[in-house]
Amino acid sequence: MIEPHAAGAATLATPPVAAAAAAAPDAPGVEALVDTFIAAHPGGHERLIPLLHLLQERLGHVPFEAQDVVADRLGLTPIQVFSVLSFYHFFTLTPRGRYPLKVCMGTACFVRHATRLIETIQDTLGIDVGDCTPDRLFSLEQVRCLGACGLAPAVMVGQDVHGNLDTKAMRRLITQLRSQGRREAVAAAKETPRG
Amino acid sequence: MATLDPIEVMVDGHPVTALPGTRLLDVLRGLGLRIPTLCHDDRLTPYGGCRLCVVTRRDGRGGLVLACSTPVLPGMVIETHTPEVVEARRQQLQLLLLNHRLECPICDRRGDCRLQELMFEHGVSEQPYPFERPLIPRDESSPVITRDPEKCILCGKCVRLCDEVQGVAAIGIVHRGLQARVTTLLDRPLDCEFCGQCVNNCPVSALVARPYLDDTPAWLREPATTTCAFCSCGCQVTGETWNGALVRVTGAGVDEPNRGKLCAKGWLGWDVHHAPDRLTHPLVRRDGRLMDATWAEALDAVVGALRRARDAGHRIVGLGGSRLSCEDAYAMQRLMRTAAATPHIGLGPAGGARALVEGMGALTGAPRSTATFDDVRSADVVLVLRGDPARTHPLLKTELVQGVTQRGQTLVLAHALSGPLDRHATLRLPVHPASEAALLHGVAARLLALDPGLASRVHGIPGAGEWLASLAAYDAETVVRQTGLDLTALDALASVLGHARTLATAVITGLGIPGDEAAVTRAAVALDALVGGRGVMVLGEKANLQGVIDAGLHGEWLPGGRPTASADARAEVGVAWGQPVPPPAPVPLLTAIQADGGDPVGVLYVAGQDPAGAWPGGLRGTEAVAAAAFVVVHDAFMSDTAQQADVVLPVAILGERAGSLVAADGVRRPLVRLEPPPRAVPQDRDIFREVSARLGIAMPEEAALVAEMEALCGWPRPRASVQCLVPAEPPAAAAPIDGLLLDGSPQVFRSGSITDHSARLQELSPSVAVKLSRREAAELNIGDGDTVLVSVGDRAALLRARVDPEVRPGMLVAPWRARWGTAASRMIPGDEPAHAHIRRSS
Repeated sequence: MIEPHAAGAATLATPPVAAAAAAAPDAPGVEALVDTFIAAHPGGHERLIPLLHLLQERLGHVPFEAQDVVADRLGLTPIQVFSVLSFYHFFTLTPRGRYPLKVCMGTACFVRHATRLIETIQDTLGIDVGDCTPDRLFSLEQVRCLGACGLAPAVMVGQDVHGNLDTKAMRRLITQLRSQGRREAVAAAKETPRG
Repeated sequence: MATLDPIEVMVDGHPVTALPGTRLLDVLRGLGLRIPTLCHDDRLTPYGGCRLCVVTRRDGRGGLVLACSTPVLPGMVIETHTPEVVEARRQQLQLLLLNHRLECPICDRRGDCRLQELMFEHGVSEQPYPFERPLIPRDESSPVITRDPEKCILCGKCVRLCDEVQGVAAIGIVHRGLQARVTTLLDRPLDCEFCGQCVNNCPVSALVARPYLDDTPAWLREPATTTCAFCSCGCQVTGETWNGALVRVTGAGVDEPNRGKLCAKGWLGWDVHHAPDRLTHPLVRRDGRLMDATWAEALDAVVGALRRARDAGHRIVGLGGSRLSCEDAYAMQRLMRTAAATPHIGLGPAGGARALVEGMGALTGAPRSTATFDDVRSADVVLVLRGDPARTHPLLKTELVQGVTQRGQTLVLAHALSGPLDRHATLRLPVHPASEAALLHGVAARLLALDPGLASRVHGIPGAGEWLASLAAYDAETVVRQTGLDLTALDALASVLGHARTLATAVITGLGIPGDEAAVTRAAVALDALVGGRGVMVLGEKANLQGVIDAGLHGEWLPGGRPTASADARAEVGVAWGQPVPPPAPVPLLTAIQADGGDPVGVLYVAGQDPAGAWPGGLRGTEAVAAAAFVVVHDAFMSDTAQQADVVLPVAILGERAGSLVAADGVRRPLVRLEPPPRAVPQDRDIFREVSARLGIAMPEEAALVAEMEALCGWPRPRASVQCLVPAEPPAAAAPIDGLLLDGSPQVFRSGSITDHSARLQELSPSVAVKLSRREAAELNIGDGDTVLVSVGDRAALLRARVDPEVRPGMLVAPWRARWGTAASRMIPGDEPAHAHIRRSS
């Protein structure tokens, strides 16, 4: 099932960052994140969504253990946190990839064959919508309008929007992101030498 | 506020005035207009979920607006029954049916369903949309409550009541769109307080209570409203009967004080009526064994013993209980004071009796609270002392949760125990056990140091000077040492009280709560006078503490709050009875029972208490019962005292009784018989009347007796106010803390001897266990389910351990009394905190 392009991923040592995200998020780390945020932003329950944003960004997802910490610090119960989290598709319970590929399925992108981009990603990475590659580098999601209809069809990767994509450009983007991930992993490994 | 001038709006072509800020729905309903709603509840913040309350607005931004969440504005033009309103409601009902499995003919709620009513009114019979209803299985994994997501219309009432009123937030709406549903985290079984508010307010039958599932349709059930008798809140509950059997209990609509709110005990505990171990026959001791007897034999034995003791001048002691109704208590004290001619009557250590008599009574001249639920609701700061009302007085807890979540009330919680209300407290002061009075004296001293002018507030009150002088002993250092709080916490309390516009204080009482309830009450009354608060509310442990004292079942107080010490008062009551009234007893009741000083008890007549089983070990209840020459017990169950008695008389309890109760707020409310007692056992007063007659003094018949009592008691009693102040007791030497604090005070599902006999409540409460915090569990290597040895001094018990994250470190929580063996009550010596040691024994 592994596509030729994915073979590269197999040779790539698991990047340290991805490894951190892959490991069960250790509770002290989450607690430190949440406590720092709480200290910097005095207030009440209105801090729930910004906190969930922060955790989604840092951890790649918001697991139940992290939700418990949020509930405890904000004086909510766990079900109240999950209720909000499950309402918004932005928050996920399973890890997102380091490069979450958000394919726009808004009207403009849809008529300009966004489905082909989905198919290309599925073929190249071997993952379905909602899934994450085993190396946690990529995940695939469909989103509603990104507000970049002029660039249709568009894909958002993290904070960056890539527009006017066709099948070939999509493959090129994936290759490019993969090598970028490898470079960053090597750099990170140099910075923090590990025994 | 100047903005409170009424404004004018047009409703259906008529000018109407309303106060600004009022919700449109309230204005329209105030005019008598029928505006349908499914998700609206007066006790909750507006939600706007069901969208059935739409009305047409003609001015400004016209169109359909939601009456429930739109405030009235000047010049608004509203029409309530335009064709588009009717059509919008019709379509909305059809949309709601997308989520609702229609099976009205066999539904548990047929005839009692808001959705069914509205569908009928609007001519809607089915939903026309081409969507499949998501199939979600019914959830029966929780105790008591069944959830049927296929009937849930997502009005969110259950979720919001659980959060805003009960303060538990055990459930939430998860996911969105057609997937949205009400559930617990990860669909686990419910682990909550089982207050039943979600079930009782579900407009459909998405939530039902299994104990109350029955085939009887709503229109065949006969409702009757009575007063709940599980605690002293005085909640109004509606019991529905069919063929004379109680088939359902709900909160009674909008009646005060609970306005439909309930707790687990008041909702489910009524199966006690039919407990298999109810006493149904009198028992008389013969040859050392208690044997079934006829009523005639039993009464002969009682009357014979009383007559012999009276004629021989032996001491007769009447120990009443605060579970008695006003009528029963009145009859008991009348029997004791006239036919038995004894001054030794009262309540002993019943939870709250000393707080009312030696606390409120000492400072106000009347043994009553000076604050009511309304004062607690409207105050901007509420100070709760000695315990967690979630465990003892659930209605007060919901009022406080609503105050904090809906009205921005400041809640200060000062006690040493653990409880569910901790999460909601604005200021949680975990003082050392039994140091609440020191905290209050200390903060009074601190407030006076910050603003010496405050003293002028109390200058007119006799004894104020001595009280102010006595506060000098409570300097910050002493208070810090006594309470274990730091100076910051003390200052935080002083700041809250100093800035409070209105303060209300609640004193929680109950057997097993450490500390002197009377001293805390006196300290609270004095502090209240100093800051100009609304008053102090003493919450008795059992239902009718206030009523029993009002009715005169207390050595120091005659009916109607007349002091027994006053010869005029005795004469006045004596005229009403046609009999002389004995002067007060020379010794307190507890001393009389314990027979200290060598004067033995000839007859101990107990109604509504269990000195042998339920008193703290240090009060020597068991020994007193054993030492008494003759013991008579009125009880519904075979209590420890009953087992040692010479005559046991079975009586009606809870909803089997007629009469009245006076709740902690001082309001007298009717007890209405919901179902007959087993084998037609009598009410307590029927026995007292018969005994009195056989002793030669006939009491009036029921109606005349009630009239006599009402004339003497004069309900509603006027509000009491501070008459004098007494000096604060000097600070006690701080006792060294050795071991863990053993907390045996009432728990959510287990509050005394009656709840122990409810199979439904037993299902909710864990088996006899000692709960400990995660910290102690880890330190002592104790796991869930381990057998542990708990010891206080030389008293010890083997219990099962349960690790509970709600328990504060440094404490153990054990049931005061348990049906199969006593736990905390035997280990805790008395008022003083009990420090326990725990170790694993398996």
